[in-house]
Amino acid sequence: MTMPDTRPIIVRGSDTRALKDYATEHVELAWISPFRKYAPAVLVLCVAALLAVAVLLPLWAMPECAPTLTAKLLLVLVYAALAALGGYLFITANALEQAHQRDVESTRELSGISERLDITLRSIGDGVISTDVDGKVTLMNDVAIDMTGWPADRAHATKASEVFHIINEKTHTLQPDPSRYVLSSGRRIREETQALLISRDGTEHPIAYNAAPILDSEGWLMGAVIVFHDVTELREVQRQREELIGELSQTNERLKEEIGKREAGRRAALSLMQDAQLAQAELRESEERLRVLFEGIDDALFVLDGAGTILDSNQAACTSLGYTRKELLGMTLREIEQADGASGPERLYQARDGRIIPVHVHVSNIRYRNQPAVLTVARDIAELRQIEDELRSSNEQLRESNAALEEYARVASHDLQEPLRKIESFVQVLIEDYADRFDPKGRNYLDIMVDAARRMRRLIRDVLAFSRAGTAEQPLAPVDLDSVAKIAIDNLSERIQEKAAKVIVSPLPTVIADETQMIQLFQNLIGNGLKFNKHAEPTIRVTTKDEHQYWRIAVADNGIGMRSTESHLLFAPFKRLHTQQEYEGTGIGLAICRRIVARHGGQIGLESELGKGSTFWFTLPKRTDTRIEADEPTPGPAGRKKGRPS
Amino acid sequence: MTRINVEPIHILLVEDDEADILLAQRAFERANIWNKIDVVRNGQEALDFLDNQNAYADKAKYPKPGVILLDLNLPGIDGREVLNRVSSDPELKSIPVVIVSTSDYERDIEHGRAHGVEHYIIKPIQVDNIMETCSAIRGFRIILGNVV
Repeated sequence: MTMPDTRPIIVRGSDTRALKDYATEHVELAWISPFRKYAPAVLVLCVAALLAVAVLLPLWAMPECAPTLTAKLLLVLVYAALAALGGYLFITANALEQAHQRDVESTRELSGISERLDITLRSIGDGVISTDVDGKVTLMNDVAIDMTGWPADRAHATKASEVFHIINEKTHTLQPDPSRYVLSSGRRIREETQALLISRDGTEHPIAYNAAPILDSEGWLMGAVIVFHDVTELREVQRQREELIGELSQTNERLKEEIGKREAGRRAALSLMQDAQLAQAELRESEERLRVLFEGIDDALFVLDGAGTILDSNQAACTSLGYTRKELLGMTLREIEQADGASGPERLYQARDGRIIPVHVHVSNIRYRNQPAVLTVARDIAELRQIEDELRSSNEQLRESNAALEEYARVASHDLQEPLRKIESFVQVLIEDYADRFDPKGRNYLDIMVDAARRMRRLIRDVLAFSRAGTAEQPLAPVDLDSVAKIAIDNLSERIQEKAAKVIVSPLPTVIADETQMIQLFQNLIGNGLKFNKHAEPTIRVTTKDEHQYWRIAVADNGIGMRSTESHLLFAPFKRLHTQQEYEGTGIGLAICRRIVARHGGQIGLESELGKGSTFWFTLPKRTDTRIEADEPTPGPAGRKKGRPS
Repeated sequence: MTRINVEPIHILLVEDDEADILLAQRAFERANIWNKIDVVRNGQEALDFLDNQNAYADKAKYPKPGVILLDLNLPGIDGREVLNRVSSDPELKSIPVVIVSTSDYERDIEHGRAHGVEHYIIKPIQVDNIMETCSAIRGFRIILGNVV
């Protein structure tokens, strides 16, 4: 029995089973086990023995041919042996014949398989090294030869550990030859193990290997096979894969971050949404409030789109125009508005019944149901107009009656003056021409007449001045109050010298005013301070204070002063606090002052303390226009009494 | 006494108020001015006098005055009309006018100015204002009385 090849057949993986089957089927006769070897012989012997017994037993029974027992037994044995031999030879020859036949076939087949295996071994990408039980190399394929650098003939019968020289990749320490483990343990190395294969010329190849024992069909250890492959490319692929994984993980990180952000965004959006919901609730509430307002307001409200179409309107709009809300919606405001009645914000609306309603509109841009829209608030100003008209006409009447009154005052005083002047003149004539005919008593009477006439004339003159103080005698123009004060002081110089008074004027502004009236104003106030002054050193100070929109000018004296309860009386015409004997005058001076100040749009007042002097102050607006104020005096601190002589 | 009195200057006083006429005459007297004073009492009379018409047709008796003292407030045709006439008539234009005014003098002055009037007296006419005015009028030859 011979193997078709002395070299062990090495196959990998699933081929092993097929090989074993083949071996079991075809090669079992070549490796006859001791049991099988002798079993036919025993069988033949037994048969032979049985035959011998069967032949000899009858002989044995015949007494005529009874040999000795020993001879008989020997004879039986000889026969049996011969029979057994013959049987065995027969069987064996048969079997051998058959075996030979099979051998021839199997050899043919095996050489084919071997060839195919060889081709397979050579052509597979893995290196294959097989060893015998001693660990000596029995076979290497081309890949293994290339990678190890050992030529096949040199490697043959060399220890596998020499040829398959591997070190640990990381530690660079020698790694034991896997065949040794396989041979000593009889187990395979299932896991692919990584290592650096050091070739004969010192080149390093990163490899992965595993190893398995070679067993014969009986399960006997025949050797080991090491299968390995270069993992450089794999490594590269792995590196790339790792890189890719790295990149992927980076991307992943980024994605995670992104997702985190999105999550945060989502959460924010969620909270926004919640806020929005809250806001919406609030909005709804405020909308309701607005709606209540919208409906409750007395002004007509229209919400218009860009084309002027009414999108919404309130109850007031319906009520005043006489349309239902349904009718109004869809109409344009142009249908309601009188085109020719527009003047600025004032328009004329026409109600359904043709009634014309004057309105004051306020237009603003709003958003309505998320669209740009226009809100028009129209206030019915019919009543206002009526009131305005009434006011205007009553103002007109007032102005007319004022003018009439003033004209009356002027004419009256003029006409009053004439007879008075004559009385004066003729009393004078009497005194001049007939003085010698009067006794002292008569002359005294004449003096009284002259005095009375003079006072009367003064009264009349003051009434005239007062009536003029309210009228626009001259247009308003810039007036330097410094020079005004100077002129007033000049006009009063005689009285100032008489009283040895001091008038101290701090710088005054320039105002838009009637110069003559300003002179009169200063003259009256300074004169007042002089008149009601019994101080040893009468002093009058004129000062200015800037009060944003006004100049406040004060004339302070150190005169007799007054009780504050009396001060309100002062600005009424012909009001006097003192007798003619104490202080002469008509009591018109301050009334004139008040009229002048009122005409200039200011106010006048007084701070005083009995015995400590008075401070008269007045304000003048800082104006730039020279428009003349209405005749109507503005109320001063003295109250809203009309400053008219009664 | 020797006086050269080539053409005695007459004074025309246009005044409706008797008391004022009286006072004016007294003032002239007391000022010792003795020029003849013709008195007319309204605007119409004043115009008649100046035109020598109606009651004043006699030119010898009523010659053109050398000075007119004119009250602007007159009944009927008032002083302003008279002034307009005087200032627009080439024959009368040269006669100096003195406006005699009252308490309402401001308006009168305004009106007078517009017509080239330079002289104003505020009533009552008295010695001092008469003298002041007369001496201010150019070419007014004063006839003084009682000068020996």
